[in-house]
Amino acid sequence: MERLEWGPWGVRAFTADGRVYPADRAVVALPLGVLKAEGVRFVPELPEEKRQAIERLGLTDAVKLFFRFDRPVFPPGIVELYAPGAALEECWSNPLGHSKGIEVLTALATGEKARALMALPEERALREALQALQQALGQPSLTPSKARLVHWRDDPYTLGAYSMARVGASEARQVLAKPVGNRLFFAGEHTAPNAWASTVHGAYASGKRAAHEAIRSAYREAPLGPRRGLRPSLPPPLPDGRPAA
Amino acid sequence: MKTLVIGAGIAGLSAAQELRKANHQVILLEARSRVGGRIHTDRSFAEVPIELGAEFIHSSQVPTYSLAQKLGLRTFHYNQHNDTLVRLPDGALRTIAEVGTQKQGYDNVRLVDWPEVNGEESLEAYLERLGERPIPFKLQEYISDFDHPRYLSAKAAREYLCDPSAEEGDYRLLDGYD
Repeated sequence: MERLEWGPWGVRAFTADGRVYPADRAVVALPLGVLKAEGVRFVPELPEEKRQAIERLGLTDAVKLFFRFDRPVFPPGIVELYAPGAALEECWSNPLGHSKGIEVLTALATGEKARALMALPEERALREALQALQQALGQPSLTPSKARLVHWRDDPYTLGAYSMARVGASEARQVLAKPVGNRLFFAGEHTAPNAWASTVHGAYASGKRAAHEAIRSAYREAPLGPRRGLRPSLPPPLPDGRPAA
Repeated sequence: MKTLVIGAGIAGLSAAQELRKANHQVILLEARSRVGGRIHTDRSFAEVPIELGAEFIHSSQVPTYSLAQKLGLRTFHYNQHNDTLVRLPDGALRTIAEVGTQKQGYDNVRLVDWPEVNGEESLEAYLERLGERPIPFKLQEYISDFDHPRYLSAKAAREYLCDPSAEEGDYRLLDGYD
């Protein structure tokens, strides 16, 4: 979707291949990265307060690294390693590997460390991350049979890993969650309360919350609802002159 | 009643499901050729699945935990107590359980009485005000999951630390998040 038109008459989504989807309301569950990059154009644009919150809320720089080893790496009963201050602070194991006699470790780098890794060619980044892992584990000769890294920054449909409450942005998620004009309702991890943001459960709960806001709004405007079928105006005609459904 | 849902990540999917229950006609738009967004399991890297995006269910206190239970999905609990090693400044590896008993507070957010935050101060400034006390593992993890404390909002971090989801370990969906 390239553009979302909204107004008292309803909403209308325009896709890149020229299709138009009219509806009464929309739940916008786009990632924060896409909103920040204005990957979708809102017409008219979103209220100032919302645009400022989109800008203020941070996006975490995060890199996930995966290493497969032919033998277990952690001692029995251990599934996670935390090395505060090390070049790679967190890594954990997929316990299913243990029953197969292998180890698959996942490490997460964020902030400065992630930015440094993302600036390197992939092969070098993996080599440096491996050194950090060897150091953290105190196993300098540890060699993986396979390695891979992933970050979501360059994915055109995501453009970032997950939201981050930067200094000064403690209220931003609350603003991002607010409906606009009884037409637009907002969901996504970045609209969850701070305690639940940046997680799947936060995103999941936000979808329910946004849906219920849309359902209540529809009820208020329904023919038998309190405002008895008020439908303020008709949508503007489509750009190519077709009548607006 | 017709409602568009834009984006078929978990937020869009849960919204669509609720709207359908209320008899809304739902049109779900997704740019990719798959649903799930930042939930994306890969089964080609190794014999066991890896999660390219989201990976854990953060505690049994959250709705996705109940959902996994309802759907009968296999989970594995990372208790982050005696199954997690911490590397100490001298290079020694100890479990959080061991370190926690030595330095009270390391493994339990509840043992800390989190003072109020001064307006929009950074987590770094807030921790400096708290003085020399061991940082609980869940706060360490919060910092490691985001960025240096000088960039983070103390108020938001405190809201997380006071939430029940910060009080226990994580669960992994053994057969993949998708």
